[in-house]
Amino acid sequence: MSSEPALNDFAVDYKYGFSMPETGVIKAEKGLSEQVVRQISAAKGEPKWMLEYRLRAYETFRKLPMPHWGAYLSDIDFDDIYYYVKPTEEQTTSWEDLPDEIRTTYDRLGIPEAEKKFLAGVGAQYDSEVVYHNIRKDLEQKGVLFSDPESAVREHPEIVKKYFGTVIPYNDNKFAALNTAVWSGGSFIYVPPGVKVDIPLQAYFRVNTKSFGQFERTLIIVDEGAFVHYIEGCTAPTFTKDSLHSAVVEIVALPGARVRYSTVQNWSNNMYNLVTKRAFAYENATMEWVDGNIGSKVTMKYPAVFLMGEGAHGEVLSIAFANKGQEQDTGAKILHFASNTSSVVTAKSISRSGGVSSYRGLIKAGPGLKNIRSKVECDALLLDETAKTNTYPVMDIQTDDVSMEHEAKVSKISEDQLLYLMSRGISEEEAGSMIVNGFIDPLVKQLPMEYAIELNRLIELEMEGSVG
Amino acid sequence: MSLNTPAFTGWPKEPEWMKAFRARARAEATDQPWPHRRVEEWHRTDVTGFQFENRQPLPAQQGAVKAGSPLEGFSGYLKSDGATVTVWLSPALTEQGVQLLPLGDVILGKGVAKPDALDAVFSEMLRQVDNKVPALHAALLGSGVFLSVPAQVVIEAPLLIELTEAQQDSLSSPHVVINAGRASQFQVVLRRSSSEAPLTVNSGMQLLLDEGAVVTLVDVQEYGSQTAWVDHSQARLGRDAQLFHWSAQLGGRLVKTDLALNLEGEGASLKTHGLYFAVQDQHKDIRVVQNHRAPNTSSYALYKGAVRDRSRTVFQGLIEVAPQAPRTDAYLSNKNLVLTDGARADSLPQLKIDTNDVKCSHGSTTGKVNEDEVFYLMSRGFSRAEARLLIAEGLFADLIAEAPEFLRQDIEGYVVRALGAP
Repeated sequence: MSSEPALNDFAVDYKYGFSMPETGVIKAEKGLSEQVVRQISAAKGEPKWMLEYRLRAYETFRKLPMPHWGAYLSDIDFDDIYYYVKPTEEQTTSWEDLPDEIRTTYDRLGIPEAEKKFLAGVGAQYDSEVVYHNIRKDLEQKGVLFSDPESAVREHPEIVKKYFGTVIPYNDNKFAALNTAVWSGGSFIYVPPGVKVDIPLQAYFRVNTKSFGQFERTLIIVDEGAFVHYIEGCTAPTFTKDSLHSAVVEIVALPGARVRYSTVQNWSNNMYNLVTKRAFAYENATMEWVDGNIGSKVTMKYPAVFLMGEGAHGEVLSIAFANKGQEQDTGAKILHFASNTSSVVTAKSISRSGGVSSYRGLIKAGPGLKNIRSKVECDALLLDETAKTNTYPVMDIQTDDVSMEHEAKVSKISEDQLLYLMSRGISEEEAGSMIVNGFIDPLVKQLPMEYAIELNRLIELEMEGSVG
Repeated sequence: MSLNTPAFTGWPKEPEWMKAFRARARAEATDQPWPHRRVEEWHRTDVTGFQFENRQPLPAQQGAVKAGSPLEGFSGYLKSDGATVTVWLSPALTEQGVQLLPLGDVILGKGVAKPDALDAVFSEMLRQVDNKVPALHAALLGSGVFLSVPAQVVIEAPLLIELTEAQQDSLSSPHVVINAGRASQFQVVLRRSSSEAPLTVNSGMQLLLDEGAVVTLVDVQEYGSQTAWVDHSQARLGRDAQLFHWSAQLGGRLVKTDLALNLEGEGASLKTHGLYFAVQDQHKDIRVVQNHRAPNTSSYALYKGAVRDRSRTVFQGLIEVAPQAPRTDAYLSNKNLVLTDGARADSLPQLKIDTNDVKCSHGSTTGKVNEDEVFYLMSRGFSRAEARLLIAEGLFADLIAEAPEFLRQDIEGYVVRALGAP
């Protein structure tokens, strides 16, 4: 096993920081050029329209400025990144078929185990490609499509062409343009009308290569009255050099559909995680983002819901933990484009040891709309005097028939609560953990039990040594 | 606008320190860029609306200074209408060392022992400059007011300052300095008004509260419908100082104000309450910063606004807590009433917290007049318009009740015009 000097300082308990020897079958040259974009497209044997779309996005990426707000990104060296590493020749539906290094990785991450126990389908991405993909037979028979997007481009071009790039156009922002130019892997889901996928589908994103950029692309179409819960997890080795993860996730919830998208983001602390996520919710559809951000060096991610039809509802539940050296710049955007729409945003963040967590949000209601309701609640918990938090909400209301509420609170662990727990014989450290768990409990409850346990455990690890 | 206009040369006989200050301010005005929409603070207001290019900067001369006669209910006043400045101060206060003077007189050293003390005050203002607009204010500084209340002096009746702009197509740059000595106590009412001619006011204010000073400032803006107003103001609160700031943004066409309330001394506290109305095509962008830079400081901000027609308001509130300000207690509340469809109220309450032993929160609501309440009042015989007005007025009643009595009727007149049926 190759071993980079561990960044012990702030990755003491990051148990996913290991890396495996590189076994990739294709590794594009370092840096970004039109040549690399063409090489990625060729490696996938793509149709011409997709290549042309990539090239247009590449030109746009070169022209667009870096965001002038949010986290400090100037240290990202776009020329010092590998944009495409293909780990295996073929995708498989059996864990046994994977090379040892890769299978061992997923075993250590517990993915095959989880699939057996409580998942309806799993996609596993290793660097640039999805190496394993499987879905329960009964769902397949009902017409549910769950694959990597490359397969969808080949097998269902009519659906991909109709929706790809419509929710998040290639020129939406610099990182969306980058993703569109070099996208590789991700998930494609289509749920036919009325089909309820009762247990979650999961994708797991693993980075193994040093100085690597992962650019997965996810497109989820949930047809009328259907339901799906999609979960993504992600980890990476701890390298001394920074990595980049820049995904684009597009979701279309057609009339009456409900989509829940849960993220447990646990990247290593050398990862720039700059992600664009957006959903369109049509008449009476419900879109829910459950967004947990524990890892990464810098995360900038603001899951968005565009409420396009009457009766649509959008919800964002967000948890962020910013430890030493981390900046979690997260939030939510809800744009009301139709009457009788409602939204709820609940954001909780925890900061310690100089970590910075910021809530950045937008609620917008256009003119002429009737009966718009929105409620935003932000809570920040600061564990020590060096912890930092910022709140930057924007409420842009252009109609008179609206009820919009926003509240934000900043607090520390209350001495009274600590003292009470300690008087009951609980150690200070445990008491601190209990209070933090109580703080995030309303959100953790929204996750399936296995993930809730995992998230609680991750937070406990982050909490170690935080009190006393 | 040419930086060579005579207005930049100041008064004919300016002292050396002022010449040097003006030169530095002018260099800033040359070097600094216009505020860009990319900067969050200016994202929603277009600086070209202030028409700096088409305005004629007023020269530093402030017109004749006349001695006024006593005014019932006040300890003193200064009224400037662009042509004449009228000043009266109760002799008892003059005796105690209180100074209420046209700012130009102080700069030129008339009746002040140490006029160059202003150099430090102005330099502090210049250090905050981060774009061309406040730099131009400093470079063109020509009229304004200087109020100084020595230590321990307690003034019962309020002091009144009235600043009126009248000249068509003019750019005026009035500056107000209020210096509250240690443990002094007083109230100031500042009324800003203008003619119906198109003109631009680029103003600034510095409130300096020494240890234990207790100051109330009532700031009422009643500009004409063609006035564009941009303002950069700061308050500095020393140890245990207390400020109550109350403001009403009633008139004007285009308004952009930025008020930084800096709690610099341990134990300082402040309350800032404001109401703003926008009708027709008015655009008002109001920013208030509660800046905690010392331990045990507290601040409370309450801003309520109403919009109608095609108007737009933007409220930007920021609570900022520095690492050296533990035990900060800060709250910000912003409430907006949208009276007609198509009017727009943006609310941006922000928190920037750099230490953990704090109590900080904010709340923001935007909504319409409650139809159930309208229905109830209509069942009691009120017309629909009357019912809506009553309810809307009710939302502002607490703030209006805090206004000085002599202003209340005027303010209520604005409220009825702003909230009433078209």
